[in-house]
Amino acid sequence: MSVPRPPLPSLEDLISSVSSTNTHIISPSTSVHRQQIASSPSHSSTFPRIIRASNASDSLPAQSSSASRADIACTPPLSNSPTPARRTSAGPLGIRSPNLHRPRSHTHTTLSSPHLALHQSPPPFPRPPYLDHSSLRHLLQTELPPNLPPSRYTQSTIYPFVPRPQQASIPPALIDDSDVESTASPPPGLPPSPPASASAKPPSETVTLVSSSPVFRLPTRWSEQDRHTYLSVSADGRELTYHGGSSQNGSSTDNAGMARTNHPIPPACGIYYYELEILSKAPKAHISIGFAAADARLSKLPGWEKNSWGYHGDDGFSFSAEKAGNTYGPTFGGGDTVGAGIDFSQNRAFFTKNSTLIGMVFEHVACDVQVFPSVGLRHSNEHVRVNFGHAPFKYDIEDHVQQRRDTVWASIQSKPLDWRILDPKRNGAGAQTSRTDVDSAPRTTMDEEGHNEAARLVLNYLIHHGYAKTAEAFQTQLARAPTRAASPALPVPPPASASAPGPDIDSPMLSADHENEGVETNMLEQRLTIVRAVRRGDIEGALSDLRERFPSVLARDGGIMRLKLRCRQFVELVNAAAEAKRAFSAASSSSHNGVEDVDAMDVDDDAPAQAALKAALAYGRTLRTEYKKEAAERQDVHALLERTWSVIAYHFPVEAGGEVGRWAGQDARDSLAGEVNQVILESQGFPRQPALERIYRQTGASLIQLGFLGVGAAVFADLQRELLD
Amino acid sequence: MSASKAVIPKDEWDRRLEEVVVSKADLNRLVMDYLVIEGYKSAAEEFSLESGVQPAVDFASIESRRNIREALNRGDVQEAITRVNDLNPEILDTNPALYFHLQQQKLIEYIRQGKITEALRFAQEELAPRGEESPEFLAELERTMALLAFESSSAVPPAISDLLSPGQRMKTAGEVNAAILESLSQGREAKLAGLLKLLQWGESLLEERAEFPKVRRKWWTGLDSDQLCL
Repeated sequence: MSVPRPPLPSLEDLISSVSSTNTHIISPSTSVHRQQIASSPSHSSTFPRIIRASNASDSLPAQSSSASRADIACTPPLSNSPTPARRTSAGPLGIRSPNLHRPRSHTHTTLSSPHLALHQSPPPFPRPPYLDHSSLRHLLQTELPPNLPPSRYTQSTIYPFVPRPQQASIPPALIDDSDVESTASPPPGLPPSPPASASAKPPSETVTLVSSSPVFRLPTRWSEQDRHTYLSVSADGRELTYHGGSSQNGSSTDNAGMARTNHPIPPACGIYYYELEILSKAPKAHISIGFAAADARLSKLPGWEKNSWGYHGDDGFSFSAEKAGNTYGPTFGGGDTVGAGIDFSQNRAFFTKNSTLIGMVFEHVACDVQVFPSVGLRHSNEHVRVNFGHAPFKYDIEDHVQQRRDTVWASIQSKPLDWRILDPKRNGAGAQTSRTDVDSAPRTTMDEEGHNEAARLVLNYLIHHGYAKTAEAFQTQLARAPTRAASPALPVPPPASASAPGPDIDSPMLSADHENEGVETNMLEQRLTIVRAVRRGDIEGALSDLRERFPSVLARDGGIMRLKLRCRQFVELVNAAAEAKRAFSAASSSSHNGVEDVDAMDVDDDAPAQAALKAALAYGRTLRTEYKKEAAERQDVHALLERTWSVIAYHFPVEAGGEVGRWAGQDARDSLAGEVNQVILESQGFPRQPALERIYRQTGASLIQLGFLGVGAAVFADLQRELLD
Repeated sequence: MSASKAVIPKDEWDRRLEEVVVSKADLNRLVMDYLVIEGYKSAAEEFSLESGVQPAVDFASIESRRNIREALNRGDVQEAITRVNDLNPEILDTNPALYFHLQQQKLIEYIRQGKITEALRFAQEELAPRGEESPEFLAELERTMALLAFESSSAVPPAISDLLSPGQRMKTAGEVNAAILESLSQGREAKLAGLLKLLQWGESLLEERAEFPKVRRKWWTGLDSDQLCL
């Protein structure tokens, strides 16, 4: 693969871009926002051209990321400590702790600039639908509080992998300072503010990411800070207007001014796309639409500088770190809508004009840097309005992404399986030589081998979960399978397959007369008997079988399995008592003709119910007494006992609904049975999960990791959607 | 490619594995899909009873696909063709490549049995006209006919010996199976195979970027041996 891939530090870039903000922690009140703004440095003096106020969300992204770093590094004292006055602006992430803004709230009163447009926050918009094609879609967020559909992945715990070694013990301010020094050509008059994103540079320090739910922030507006002073940003963050330079000097490249967005583009999008409407009149606009990394100078158009890519309206050329450009598409200007997209699955860009795709262009786009949507203007009164998903796109980007997703999936599926990748010895030097030599010629034996391997996986699964009859039927059909039988029928087997049926292929499970089969089948039957007993509530039977056949299971982990089963036994007794009572009530209500009769029956039929209840109580008390000591020492034991005992409070626990209903009902039996099954398997040295499940998980984890690493194609390989739905 | 790869230690990776959400019901459906697509009818029936998962097709069609597959795998191509046509004559009518491959398989079986006269007559009458239809067919026909140049199968060079392997029969059988499934609006390939290909792809890409624990065959072939986890 010749495509340069991101150097390792970009791992951290990703994390820095990941907001550690948990939306539920942020107080949704607008007052928080207001205080936020209030605490930001007064822009009005340094940015005379800004006539409207910014909103909380455009506080300096670099500070956001430093704040997030502090959060990530779990150094609360740092994030709570007052920061130097010139950087009092806490990013949206800074409001995590309620006392963060308190010390600064007094600055609110000193604010004199007309920041009354504060309420006029950019209209929040949901994640654009085309991003639904990313398997990490649930992590891609706009400012709009996510109303996420239930995710297949547990959000709270997934996070990018970070090398663990060092804690970030560097105060946020320090990080900012280092960034300031490397800021590329700060526009005149700009306060010593960091570039758009400190995260775009490989930071030297690593952080340990403690449980935070990663969220990939999508660009939602032009940054109020990260733009050239020639440009002004509208209050809603969508419009850019050119005010600078001398217009008579229009052809000079000195007059260019560029803007970037508030957040970089998360590669986990797979494909990212935005559109720009040209509001000014000139038919050939001196406008460049594209993408730029944080280190591309704001005084240049996207495409002129390294790490920037652009499509220019005046000549229709495409530019990738070059001054001359290449013929690419039509010119564009007033009234046109142009779109710019990055395809992270091939690290190329594409542009559209008025809903028509122009074509793929550039190579190695955003391979080792984070990039922002970026637009550059050069002439007076040039005026554009962006759509980051605020409104439907003119170009059918959904179809575009869908097609790309299908292509990626098809290309993955078109590669034949090579089972050798699964061989444990593949990395061992020379260990594979004999097999490799043999396998060098035939592609056909792969088919056979694949069939056998898949069959083994399925059989392993069936047996693991105790689908005994299925396993038996499957095995019978496999034994009839011609794979093995066919070979001898050949006059002379081809040279390749002669040695192919080695020990790996000659699976014992395929041969009916395997010597260990008796023993193994026996073990399977014993395991199944126990699991079925638990499933139908015969705990006593299960316990006695376990004592006899798998005593280590009961002793395991301080006897927790024994306790769980005994607790279940108590629940079963309570359930039985409830049933006895129900039987009595039913009988008594059906014979309510004579009052005397009922009284008589009361005495007669209530007895079993009472006895059952008594037995249950006695069992429960014994249990509590026996485990008194353990309960005092172990929280899990204590909780288990308490929960179990609480069942007694219900007439009909199974019908109680909610937690109790589940705890008393069949679901709990099934899950306990599954647990017993797993523990028995483990006690016999078998993996706790069937291989098929392991493989699924392995695949899922690999794809998620690739997505985090910015491998765009990985987010188009949607395990769940392709295989389960 | 790069000297510095991230290392994901086992405990870390294990935790990530646990975070992937997949239920037993999900996996049961994957297994049912496999049993149906691969045509294990009685196993699919038992599985439906034991797990409660319903197959998307009726069991009868599984059986007939299985029969066709088995006929091809034992070399009875004519039987397979008859059965496919019984099932749905359009399958072969609308799929010339498939029909050609079946005829090619028939030729291979004649050669395998040493029925040289029959092989030649069949090739001339049935296959040669089709070879003219497309260059791809012609190339395959030439490759197959080359088998006749060798006195005994042991002398057949590796380049064409795969035609005589069980793998060739399975390939043809798989093609027929896929075509039938397609005619039933079913997936062509078991999703399990898709999963494994995805695993292969994902692991190799991630391997370029990080060190992490890989899938091992011993996970399902037993402990460290190939012994079955019964």
